[in-house]
Amino acid sequence: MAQTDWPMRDKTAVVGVGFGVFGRASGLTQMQQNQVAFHNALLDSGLQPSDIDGVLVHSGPTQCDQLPEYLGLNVRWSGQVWPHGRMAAVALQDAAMVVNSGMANAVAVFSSNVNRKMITGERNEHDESYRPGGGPHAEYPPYGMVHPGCLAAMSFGRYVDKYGGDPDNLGYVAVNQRYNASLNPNAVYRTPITIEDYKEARKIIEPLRLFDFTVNTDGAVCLIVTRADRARDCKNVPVLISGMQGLASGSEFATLSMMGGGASRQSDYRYSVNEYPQYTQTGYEMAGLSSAKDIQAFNMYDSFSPMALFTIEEWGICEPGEGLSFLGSTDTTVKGTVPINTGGGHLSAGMMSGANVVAEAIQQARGDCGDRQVKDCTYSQYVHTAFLTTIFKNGNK
Amino acid sequence: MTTTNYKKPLPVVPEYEQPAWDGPQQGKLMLQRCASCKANIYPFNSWCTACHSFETEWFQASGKGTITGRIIYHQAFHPGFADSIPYNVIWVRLEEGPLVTSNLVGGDYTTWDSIKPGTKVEAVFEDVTDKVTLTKFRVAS
Repeated sequence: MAQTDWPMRDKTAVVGVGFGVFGRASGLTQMQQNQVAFHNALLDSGLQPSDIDGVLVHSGPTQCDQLPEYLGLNVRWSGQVWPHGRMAAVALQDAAMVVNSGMANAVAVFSSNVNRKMITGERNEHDESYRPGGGPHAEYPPYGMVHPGCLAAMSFGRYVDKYGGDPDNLGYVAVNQRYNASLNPNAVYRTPITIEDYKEARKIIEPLRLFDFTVNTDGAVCLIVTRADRARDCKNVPVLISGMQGLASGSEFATLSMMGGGASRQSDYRYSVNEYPQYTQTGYEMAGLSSAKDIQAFNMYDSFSPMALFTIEEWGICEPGEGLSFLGSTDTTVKGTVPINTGGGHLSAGMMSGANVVAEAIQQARGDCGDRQVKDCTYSQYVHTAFLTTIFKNGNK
Repeated sequence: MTTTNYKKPLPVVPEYEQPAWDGPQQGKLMLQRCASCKANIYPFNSWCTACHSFETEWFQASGKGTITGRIIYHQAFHPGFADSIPYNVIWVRLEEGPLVTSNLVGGDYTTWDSIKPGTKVEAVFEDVTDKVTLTKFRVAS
Protein backbone atom coordinates (compact mmCIF):
# COMPACT_ATOMS: atom_id res chain seq x y z
CA MET A 1 0.00 0.00 0.00
CA ALA A 2 1.40 3.35 -0.97
CA GLN A 3 2.08 5.71 1.86
CA THR A 4 0.42 9.10 1.50
CA ASP A 5 1.08 10.64 4.89
CA TRP A 6 4.70 11.53 5.67
CA PRO A 7 4.82 12.72 9.26
CA MET A 8 8.47 13.76 9.13
CA ARG A 9 8.36 15.90 5.98
CA ASP A 10 10.04 19.25 6.79
CA LYS A 11 9.81 18.52 10.52
CA THR A 12 13.55 18.47 11.21
CA ALA A 13 16.00 21.34 10.85
CA VAL A 14 19.76 21.33 10.61
CA VAL A 15 20.63 24.56 12.42
CA GLY A 16 24.38 24.28 12.90
CA VAL A 17 27.24 23.20 10.66
CA GLY A 18 30.75 23.25 12.10
CA PHE A 19 34.08 22.08 10.75
CA GLY A 20 37.31 21.07 12.42
CA VAL A 21 40.68 21.80 10.86
CA PHE A 22 40.91 20.12 7.47
CA GLY A 23 44.26 19.06 6.04
CA ARG A 24 46.39 16.05 5.35
CA ALA A 25 48.13 16.27 8.74
CA SER A 26 46.48 18.71 11.13
CA GLY A 27 48.58 17.95 14.21
CA LEU A 28 45.38 17.82 16.23
CA THR A 29 44.00 14.84 18.10
CA GLN A 30 40.64 13.39 17.20
CA MET A 31 39.12 14.91 20.33
CA GLN A 32 40.52 18.35 19.49
CA GLN A 33 39.07 18.10 15.99
CA ASN A 34 35.66 17.30 17.47
CA GLN A 35 35.96 20.17 19.93
CA VAL A 36 36.76 22.66 17.16
CA ALA A 37 33.88 21.37 15.03
CA PHE A 38 31.45 21.52 17.98
CA HIS A 39 32.53 25.05 18.87
CA ASN A 40 32.02 26.18 15.26
CA ALA A 41 28.64 24.44 14.98
CA LEU A 42 27.43 26.15 18.16
CA LEU A 43 28.56 29.55 16.84
CA ASP A 44 26.83 28.83 13.56
CA SER A 45 23.57 27.88 15.29
CA GLY A 46 23.51 30.51 18.01
CA LEU A 47 22.78 27.76 20.54
CA GLN A 48 24.46 27.34 23.91
CA PRO A 49 26.19 24.12 25.00
CA SER A 50 23.37 23.58 27.50
CA ASP A 51 20.88 23.46 24.62
CA ILE A 52 22.49 20.25 23.32
CA ASP A 53 20.90 17.21 24.96
CA GLY A 54 21.86 14.52 22.47
CA VAL A 55 25.14 13.33 20.94
CA LEU A 56 25.54 10.90 18.07
CA VAL A 57 28.96 9.68 16.99
CA HIS A 58 29.59 8.55 13.44
CA SER A 59 33.15 8.07 12.23
CA GLY A 60 36.44 7.98 14.01
CA PRO A 61 37.54 6.11 17.12
CA THR A 62 35.90 8.76 19.31
CA GLN A 63 33.21 7.11 21.37
CA CYS A 64 29.90 8.32 22.65
CA ASP A 65 30.71 7.56 26.28
CA GLN A 66 33.72 9.90 26.27
CA LEU A 67 32.91 12.61 23.75
CA PRO A 68 30.21 14.41 25.80
CA GLU A 69 32.54 14.43 28.81
CA TYR A 70 35.29 16.11 26.77
CA LEU A 71 32.82 18.62 25.37
CA GLY A 72 31.58 19.51 28.84
CA LEU A 73 28.12 18.07 28.19
CA ASN A 74 25.74 15.83 30.04
CA VAL A 75 23.18 14.63 27.51
CA ARG A 76 20.01 12.59 27.89
CA TRP A 77 20.50 10.76 24.61
CA SER A 78 23.72 9.35 23.12
CA GLY A 79 24.43 6.87 20.38
CA GLN A 80 26.88 5.67 17.81
CA VAL A 81 26.80 4.15 14.32
CA TRP A 82 29.18 1.95 12.31
CA PRO A 83 32.12 4.27 11.42
CA HIS A 84 31.80 3.74 7.67
CA GLY A 85 31.11 6.51 5.19
CA ARG A 86 27.78 5.04 4.22
CA MET A 87 26.60 5.75 7.77
CA ALA A 88 27.17 9.53 7.77
CA ALA A 89 23.75 10.23 6.31
CA VAL A 90 22.23 7.41 8.36
CA ALA A 91 23.53 9.11 11.52
CA LEU A 92 21.86 12.37 10.52
CA GLN A 93 18.61 10.51 9.81
CA ASP A 94 18.82 8.84 13.23
CA ALA A 95 19.27 12.25 14.85
CA ALA A 96 16.22 13.55 12.98
CA MET A 97 14.14 10.67 14.33
CA VAL A 98 15.47 11.23 17.86
CA VAL A 99 14.50 14.92 18.00
CA ASN A 100 11.09 14.18 16.51
CA SER A 101 10.48 11.43 19.04
CA GLY A 102 11.06 13.84 21.89
CA MET A 103 13.99 11.88 23.34
CA ALA A 104 16.18 14.95 22.78
CA ASN A 105 15.63 18.52 21.64
CA ALA A 106 18.94 19.12 19.90
CA VAL A 107 21.35 16.42 18.81
CA ALA A 108 24.95 17.10 17.76
CA VAL A 109 26.21 14.58 15.18
CA PHE A 110 29.99 14.08 14.98
CA SER A 111 32.27 12.69 12.29
CA SER A 112 36.04 13.01 12.50
CA ASN A 113 39.21 11.57 11.05
CA VAL A 114 42.78 11.94 12.23
CA ASN A 115 45.71 10.09 10.70
CA ARG A 116 43.26 7.60 9.29
CA LYS A 117 44.46 4.62 7.33
CA MET A 118 42.40 2.70 4.83
CA ILE A 119 41.83 -0.89 5.87
CA THR A 120 44.33 -2.75 3.74
CA GLY A 121 44.44 -6.23 5.20
CA GLU A 122 47.38 -5.43 7.45
CA ARG A 123 46.09 -7.74 10.02
CA ASN A 124 44.93 -6.50 13.36
CA GLU A 125 41.88 -7.12 15.46
CA HIS A 126 40.01 -4.18 13.88
CA ASP A 127 40.70 -5.07 10.26
CA GLU A 128 37.33 -5.88 8.75
CA SER A 129 38.96 -7.21 5.57
CA TYR A 130 39.14 -10.61 7.29
CA ARG A 131 35.45 -10.81 8.05
CA PRO A 132 34.02 -14.23 7.09
CA GLY A 133 32.49 -13.93 3.63
CA GLY A 134 34.61 -10.90 2.76
CA GLY A 135 35.21 -7.35 3.96
CA PRO A 136 32.78 -4.43 3.74
CA HIS A 137 34.11 -3.55 0.27
CA ALA A 138 34.47 -7.21 -0.84
CA GLU A 139 38.04 -7.41 0.40
CA TYR A 140 39.59 -10.87 0.37
CA PRO A 141 43.19 -10.50 1.55
CA PRO A 142 44.62 -14.00 0.86
CA TYR A 143 44.25 -13.32 -2.88
CA GLY A 144 45.44 -9.72 -2.67
CA MET A 145 41.98 -8.16 -2.90
CA VAL A 146 42.71 -5.40 -0.39
CA HIS A 147 41.92 -1.70 0.05
CA PRO A 148 38.32 -0.39 -0.17
CA GLY A 149 38.95 0.77 -3.76
CA CYS A 150 39.09 -2.86 -4.89
CA LEU A 151 35.32 -3.16 -5.21
CA ALA A 152 34.96 0.19 -6.99
CA ALA A 153 37.63 -0.93 -9.49
CA MET A 154 36.06 -4.35 -10.01
CA SER A 155 32.56 -2.88 -10.34
CA PHE A 156 33.68 -0.19 -12.79
CA GLY A 157 35.40 -2.78 -15.00
CA ARG A 158 32.26 -4.88 -14.95
CA TYR A 159 30.15 -1.79 -15.69
CA VAL A 160 32.18 -1.02 -18.83
CA ASP A 161 31.98 -4.68 -19.92
CA LYS A 162 28.21 -4.64 -19.54
CA TYR A 163 27.14 -1.15 -20.62
CA GLY A 164 30.01 0.09 -22.75
CA GLY A 165 30.91 3.77 -23.05
CA ASP A 166 34.27 5.51 -23.00
CA PRO A 167 35.91 4.60 -19.68
CA ASP A 168 38.07 7.74 -19.82
CA ASN A 169 34.90 9.82 -19.37
CA LEU A 170 34.94 8.70 -15.75
CA GLY A 171 37.70 11.30 -15.47
CA TYR A 172 35.15 14.11 -15.68
CA VAL A 173 34.00 13.19 -12.18
CA ALA A 174 37.44 14.09 -10.82
CA VAL A 175 38.00 17.02 -13.20
CA ASN A 176 34.65 18.74 -12.53
CA GLN A 177 34.77 18.16 -8.81
CA ARG A 178 38.27 19.63 -8.70
CA TYR A 179 36.89 22.75 -10.36
CA ASN A 180 34.23 22.94 -7.63
CA ALA A 181 36.93 22.43 -4.99
CA SER A 182 38.89 25.36 -6.42
CA LEU A 183 35.98 27.51 -5.18
CA ASN A 184 35.89 25.85 -1.74
CA PRO A 185 38.34 27.33 0.81
CA ASN A 186 37.93 24.21 2.97
CA ALA A 187 38.98 21.77 0.23
CA VAL A 188 42.28 19.90 0.47
CA TYR A 189 43.04 19.93 -3.29
CA ARG A 190 42.13 23.15 -5.09
CA THR A 191 44.36 23.28 -8.19
CA PRO A 192 42.26 22.50 -11.27
CA ILE A 193 43.12 19.40 -13.34
CA THR A 194 42.30 18.54 -16.94
CA ILE A 195 41.01 15.36 -18.53
CA GLU A 196 44.54 14.90 -19.95
CA ASP A 197 45.97 15.04 -16.41
CA TYR A 198 43.48 12.35 -15.50
CA LYS A 199 44.36 10.06 -18.41
CA GLU A 200 48.09 10.42 -17.82
CA ALA A 201 47.93 9.74 -14.07
CA ARG A 202 49.39 6.48 -12.83
CA LYS A 203 47.22 3.42 -12.50
CA ILE A 204 46.50 2.35 -8.94
CA ILE A 205 44.01 -0.53 -9.11
CA GLU A 206 43.35 -0.84 -12.83
CA PRO A 207 40.99 0.27 -14.36
CA LEU A 208 41.20 3.09 -11.77
CA ARG A 209 43.86 5.79 -11.72
CA LEU A 210 45.24 8.20 -9.15
CA PHE A 211 42.48 10.81 -9.43
CA ASP A 212 39.78 8.17 -8.99
CA PHE A 213 40.80 7.75 -5.35
CA THR A 214 39.95 9.92 -2.40
CA VAL A 215 42.65 11.02 -0.05
CA ASN A 216 42.62 10.53 3.69
CA THR A 217 42.20 13.81 5.46
CA ASP A 218 42.25 15.08 9.01
CA GLY A 219 39.23 17.04 10.10
CA ALA A 220 35.83 16.89 11.71
CA VAL A 221 32.24 17.81 10.99
CA CYS A 222 29.58 18.59 13.57
CA LEU A 223 25.93 18.99 12.57
CA ILE A 224 23.31 20.24 15.04
CA VAL A 225 19.80 18.95 14.48
CA THR A 226 16.57 20.05 16.12
CA ARG A 227 12.85 20.10 15.38
CA ALA A 228 11.77 22.60 12.76
CA ASP A 229 9.43 24.35 15.19
CA ARG A 230 12.37 25.10 17.50
CA ALA A 231 14.64 26.27 14.69
CA ARG A 232 13.26 29.78 14.38
CA ASP A 233 15.16 30.76 17.55
CA CYS A 234 18.43 29.90 15.82
CA LYS A 235 20.83 32.30 14.19
CA ASN A 236 20.80 31.19 10.54
CA VAL A 237 18.37 30.07 7.90
CA PRO A 238 17.22 26.60 8.99
CA VAL A 239 17.75 23.79 6.50
CA LEU A 240 14.82 21.39 6.63
CA ILE A 241 15.08 17.67 6.10
CA SER A 242 12.28 17.16 3.60
CA GLY A 243 12.77 13.54 2.61
CA MET A 244 14.79 10.53 3.70
CA GLN A 245 15.38 7.06 2.36
CA GLY A 246 17.45 4.59 4.34
CA LEU A 247 20.45 2.52 3.38
CA ALA A 248 19.25 -0.71 1.75
CA SER A 249 21.09 -3.80 2.92
CA GLY A 250 21.20 -7.49 2.04
CA SER A 251 22.85 -9.74 -0.50
CA GLU A 252 21.47 -7.65 -3.39
CA PHE A 253 23.09 -4.42 -2.19
CA ALA A 254 26.74 -3.45 -2.47
CA THR A 255 27.65 0.16 -1.71
CA LEU A 256 30.52 0.25 -4.21
CA SER A 257 28.50 -1.10 -7.10
CA MET A 258 25.22 -0.16 -8.72
CA MET A 259 22.16 -2.38 -8.64
CA GLY A 260 22.57 -5.38 -10.92
CA GLY A 261 26.33 -4.98 -10.94
CA GLY A 262 26.82 -8.60 -9.97
CA ALA A 263 29.14 -7.48 -7.19
CA SER A 264 29.88 -9.90 -4.38
CA ARG A 265 26.57 -11.79 -4.07
CA GLN A 266 24.43 -9.39 -6.07
CA SER A 267 22.45 -10.62 -9.05
CA ASP A 268 23.78 -9.63 -12.45
CA TYR A 269 21.28 -7.81 -14.66
CA ARG A 270 20.63 -4.56 -16.52
CA TYR A 271 19.33 -2.02 -14.05
CA SER A 272 16.26 0.10 -14.67
CA VAL A 273 15.36 2.92 -12.30
CA ASN A 274 11.68 1.95 -12.44
CA GLU A 275 12.36 -1.51 -11.04
CA TYR A 276 12.77 -0.30 -7.49
CA PRO A 277 10.17 2.40 -6.83
CA GLN A 278 9.99 1.40 -3.17
CA TYR A 279 13.65 2.37 -2.87
CA THR A 280 14.05 5.29 -5.24
CA GLN A 281 10.74 7.02 -4.58
CA THR A 282 10.42 7.08 -0.78
CA GLY A 283 12.75 10.04 -0.36
CA TYR A 284 11.11 12.08 -3.12
CA GLU A 285 7.57 11.25 -1.98
CA MET A 286 8.38 12.14 1.60
CA ALA A 287 9.73 15.47 0.34
CA GLY A 288 6.67 16.05 -1.84
CA LEU A 289 8.79 15.88 -4.99
CA SER A 290 8.63 13.60 -8.00
CA SER A 291 12.20 12.85 -9.09
CA ALA A 292 15.79 14.01 -9.37
CA LYS A 293 14.57 16.68 -11.81
CA ASP A 294 13.21 18.66 -8.84
CA ILE A 295 16.66 18.97 -7.26
CA GLN A 296 19.07 21.86 -7.90
CA ALA A 297 22.29 20.42 -6.42
CA PHE A 298 23.51 16.87 -5.83
CA ASN A 299 26.15 15.78 -3.38
CA MET A 300 27.07 12.13 -3.45
CA TYR A 301 29.39 9.67 -1.80
CA ASP A 302 32.57 9.46 -3.88
CA SER A 303 35.33 7.72 -1.99
CA PHE A 304 36.17 6.42 -5.48
CA SER A 305 34.88 8.11 -8.62
CA PRO A 306 32.88 5.12 -9.99
CA MET A 307 30.48 5.64 -7.07
CA ALA A 308 29.40 8.94 -8.62
CA LEU A 309 28.75 7.14 -11.93
CA PHE A 310 26.77 4.38 -10.20
CA THR A 311 24.84 6.90 -8.10
CA ILE A 312 23.68 9.10 -10.98
CA GLU A 313 22.34 6.01 -12.76
CA GLU A 314 20.80 4.39 -9.71
CA TRP A 315 18.89 7.60 -8.95
CA GLY A 316 17.78 8.30 -12.50
CA ILE A 317 19.86 11.48 -12.84
CA CYS A 318 20.70 9.88 -16.18
CA GLU A 319 19.51 6.68 -17.81
CA PRO A 320 21.18 3.42 -16.73
CA GLY A 321 24.04 2.59 -19.08
CA GLU A 322 24.36 6.18 -20.28
CA GLY A 323 26.43 7.46 -17.39
CA LEU A 324 29.75 7.71 -19.19
CA SER A 325 28.31 9.60 -22.15
CA PHE A 326 26.37 11.81 -19.68
CA LEU A 327 29.62 12.63 -17.85
CA GLY A 328 31.34 13.37 -21.15
CA SER A 329 28.62 15.74 -22.33
CA THR A 330 27.21 17.41 -19.19
CA ASP A 331 28.68 20.25 -17.16
CA THR A 332 28.50 18.87 -13.61
CA THR A 333 30.35 21.80 -12.05
CA VAL A 334 28.54 24.35 -9.91
CA LYS A 335 28.16 26.52 -13.03
CA GLY A 336 26.60 23.68 -15.00
CA THR A 337 23.18 22.20 -15.59
CA VAL A 338 23.51 19.28 -13.14
CA PRO A 339 25.83 20.33 -10.30
CA ILE A 340 27.46 17.31 -8.66
CA ASN A 341 29.63 17.34 -5.54
CA THR A 342 29.57 21.08 -5.32
CA GLY A 343 32.31 21.35 -2.70
CA GLY A 344 34.69 18.99 -4.51
CA GLY A 345 33.45 15.76 -2.93
CA HIS A 346 35.79 13.40 -1.15
CA LEU A 347 38.01 13.27 -4.22
CA SER A 348 39.10 16.90 -3.84
CA ALA A 349 37.65 18.36 -0.64
CA GLY A 350 39.02 15.46 1.40
CA MET A 351 37.83 12.20 2.92
CA MET A 352 35.57 12.78 5.90
CA SER A 353 33.62 9.55 5.55
CA GLY A 354 30.60 11.18 3.99
CA ALA A 355 30.14 13.91 6.58
CA ASN A 356 31.69 16.79 4.64
CA VAL A 357 29.66 15.82 1.56
CA VAL A 358 26.46 15.76 3.63
CA ALA A 359 27.45 19.13 5.13
CA GLU A 360 27.97 20.57 1.65
CA ALA A 361 24.45 19.46 0.66
CA ILE A 362 23.11 21.28 3.74
CA GLN A 363 25.10 24.44 3.02
CA GLN A 364 23.93 24.54 -0.59
CA ALA A 365 20.31 24.43 0.56
CA ARG A 366 21.06 27.21 3.02
CA GLY A 367 22.65 29.33 0.27
CA ASP A 368 25.88 29.59 2.21
CA CYS A 369 28.46 28.52 -0.35
CA GLY A 370 29.94 31.77 -1.65
CA ASP A 371 31.63 31.40 -5.04
CA ARG A 372 30.45 27.83 -5.42
CA GLN A 373 26.81 28.47 -4.50
CA VAL A 374 24.40 26.90 -6.98
CA LYS A 375 21.92 29.55 -8.11
CA ASP A 376 18.31 29.38 -6.93
CA CYS A 377 18.93 26.28 -4.85
CA THR A 378 15.81 25.38 -2.91
CA TYR A 379 16.27 21.60 -2.81
CA SER A 380 19.62 19.93 -2.40
CA GLN A 381 20.03 16.16 -2.27
CA TYR A 382 22.60 13.89 -0.70
CA VAL A 383 22.61 10.66 -2.69
CA HIS A 384 24.40 7.38 -2.21
CA THR A 385 24.38 3.94 -3.77
CA ALA A 386 22.13 1.33 -2.12
CA PHE A 387 19.39 3.98 -2.28
CA LEU A 388 20.45 6.06 0.70
CA THR A 389 19.34 9.66 0.43
CA THR A 390 18.44 12.79 2.37
CA ILE A 391 16.72 15.72 0.70
CA PHE A 392 17.32 19.18 2.18
CA LYS A 393 15.23 22.29 1.68
CA ASN A 394 15.90 25.95 2.35
CA GLY A 395 13.66 26.75 5.31
CA ASN A 396 12.95 30.29 4.11
CA LYS A 397 11.67 29.26 0.68
CA MET B 1 56.96 -22.61 -1.20
CA THR B 2 58.28 -22.65 2.33
CA THR B 3 56.21 -21.72 5.34
CA THR B 4 58.64 -19.23 6.80
CA ASN B 5 58.98 -17.06 3.70
CA TYR B 6 55.28 -16.58 3.03
CA LYS B 7 54.47 -12.95 3.78
CA LYS B 8 51.07 -12.57 2.15
CA PRO B 9 47.92 -12.55 4.29
CA LEU B 10 46.47 -15.86 5.40
CA PRO B 11 42.75 -16.46 5.82
CA VAL B 12 40.98 -16.20 9.16
CA VAL B 13 38.81 -19.32 9.14
CA PRO B 14 35.71 -19.69 11.32
CA GLU B 15 35.09 -23.25 12.45
CA TYR B 16 32.08 -23.79 10.18
CA GLU B 17 34.22 -22.85 7.16
CA GLN B 18 37.03 -25.32 7.89
CA PRO B 19 35.98 -27.93 5.26
CA ALA B 20 36.38 -25.27 2.56
CA TRP B 21 40.06 -24.98 3.53
CA ASP B 22 40.68 -28.69 4.20
CA GLY B 23 39.44 -29.69 0.72
CA PRO B 24 42.07 -27.86 -1.34
CA GLN B 25 44.83 -29.59 0.64
CA GLN B 26 43.61 -32.79 -1.02
CA GLY B 27 43.07 -31.11 -4.37
CA LYS B 28 39.32 -30.69 -3.96
CA LEU B 29 37.27 -27.51 -4.26
CA MET B 30 34.55 -27.86 -1.65
CA LEU B 31 31.20 -26.06 -1.49
CA GLN B 32 28.45 -26.04 1.11
CA ARG B 33 24.76 -26.77 0.76
CA CYS B 34 21.76 -27.30 2.99
CA ALA B 35 21.25 -30.92 4.02
CA SER B 36 17.53 -30.27 4.21
CA CYS B 37 16.50 -28.13 1.19
CA LYS B 38 19.75 -28.67 -0.80
CA ALA B 39 20.15 -24.94 -1.55
CA ASN B 40 23.75 -23.84 -2.08
CA ILE B 41 25.08 -21.81 0.83
CA TYR B 42 27.47 -19.01 -0.08
CA PRO B 43 29.07 -17.19 1.61
CA PHE B 44 29.64 -20.19 3.86
CA ASN B 45 27.41 -20.09 6.86
CA SER B 46 26.46 -22.07 9.95
CA TRP B 47 22.86 -22.37 8.79
CA CYS B 48 20.86 -22.32 5.59
CA THR B 49 19.62 -18.82 4.85
CA ALA B 50 16.88 -20.25 2.59
CA CYS B 51 15.15 -22.58 5.11
CA HIS B 52 17.02 -21.84 8.37
CA SER B 53 18.07 -25.45 8.84
CA PHE B 54 21.25 -25.86 10.89
CA GLU B 55 22.10 -29.10 9.03
CA THR B 56 24.59 -28.29 6.30
CA GLU B 57 26.79 -30.54 4.17
CA TRP B 58 29.83 -30.18 1.93
CA PHE B 59 30.32 -31.49 -1.59
CA GLN B 60 33.11 -31.48 -4.13
CA ALA B 61 32.65 -28.83 -6.82
CA SER B 62 33.76 -29.26 -10.42
CA GLY B 63 36.40 -26.55 -10.08
CA LYS B 64 35.13 -25.05 -13.32
CA GLY B 65 33.93 -21.50 -13.77
CA THR B 66 33.91 -18.31 -15.82
CA ILE B 67 35.78 -15.06 -15.26
CA THR B 68 33.30 -12.23 -14.59
CA GLY B 69 35.63 -9.49 -13.42
CA ARG B 70 39.29 -8.57 -13.13
CA ILE B 71 41.46 -5.85 -11.65
CA ILE B 72 45.20 -5.23 -11.80
CA TYR B 73 47.04 -3.92 -8.74
CA HIS B 74 49.84 -1.49 -9.56
CA GLN B 75 50.35 -0.56 -5.93
CA ALA B 76 50.90 -2.91 -2.99
CA PHE B 77 48.60 -1.81 -0.18
CA HIS B 78 49.69 -4.78 1.92
CA PRO B 79 53.47 -5.26 2.30
CA GLY B 80 53.13 -8.97 1.50
CA PHE B 81 52.40 -8.05 -2.13
CA ALA B 82 55.28 -5.58 -2.54
CA ASP B 83 57.26 -8.02 -4.71
CA SER B 84 54.21 -9.14 -6.67
CA ILE B 85 52.97 -5.96 -8.39
CA PRO B 86 51.54 -5.79 -10.92
CA TYR B 87 49.23 -8.67 -10.02
CA ASN B 88 45.68 -9.60 -10.90
CA VAL B 89 42.59 -10.41 -8.86
CA ILE B 90 39.69 -12.09 -10.64
CA TRP B 91 36.12 -12.95 -9.84
CA VAL B 92 35.06 -16.39 -10.99
CA ARG B 93 31.44 -17.51 -11.27
CA LEU B 94 31.66 -21.21 -10.42
CA GLU B 95 29.58 -23.69 -12.40
CA GLU B 96 27.65 -24.39 -9.19
CA GLY B 97 26.74 -20.70 -8.73
CA PRO B 98 28.96 -19.00 -6.13
CA LEU B 99 31.10 -16.02 -7.15
CA VAL B 100 34.60 -16.40 -5.72
CA THR B 101 37.62 -14.10 -5.49
CA SER B 102 40.95 -15.51 -6.70
CA ASN B 103 43.92 -15.01 -9.03
CA LEU B 104 44.47 -16.10 -12.63
CA VAL B 105 47.74 -18.07 -12.89
CA GLY B 106 49.60 -20.07 -15.52
CA GLY B 107 50.68 -17.16 -17.71
CA ASP B 108 51.52 -13.47 -17.76
CA TYR B 109 48.20 -11.98 -16.69
CA THR B 110 49.39 -8.64 -15.39
CA THR B 111 47.70 -6.29 -17.87
CA TRP B 112 44.06 -5.29 -18.18
CA ASP B 113 43.77 -6.60 -21.74
CA SER B 114 45.40 -9.95 -20.97
CA ILE B 115 42.34 -11.14 -19.05
CA LYS B 116 39.04 -11.40 -20.88
CA PRO B 117 35.70 -11.62 -19.08
CA GLY B 118 33.87 -14.78 -20.12
CA THR B 119 37.04 -16.88 -20.18
CA LYS B 120 36.47 -20.44 -18.93
CA VAL B 121 38.79 -21.36 -16.09
CA GLU B 122 39.56 -24.33 -13.84
CA ALA B 123 40.82 -24.51 -10.27
CA VAL B 124 44.42 -25.22 -9.36
CA PHE B 125 45.64 -25.58 -5.82
CA GLU B 126 48.65 -23.78 -4.41
CA ASP B 127 50.15 -24.83 -1.07
CA VAL B 128 51.35 -21.56 0.45
CA THR B 129 52.13 -22.89 3.94
CA ASP B 130 52.02 -26.34 5.56
CA LYS B 131 48.47 -25.59 6.69
CA VAL B 132 47.01 -23.36 3.98
CA THR B 133 46.27 -24.17 0.35
CA LEU B 134 44.80 -21.42 -1.84
CA THR B 135 42.46 -22.11 -4.75
CA LYS B 136 43.58 -20.25 -7.87
CA PHE B 137 42.46 -20.58 -11.47
CA ARG B 138 44.03 -21.18 -14.87
CA VAL B 139 42.53 -20.92 -18.32
CA ALA B 140 40.61 -24.18 -18.91
CA SER B 141 42.35 -26.72 -21.11
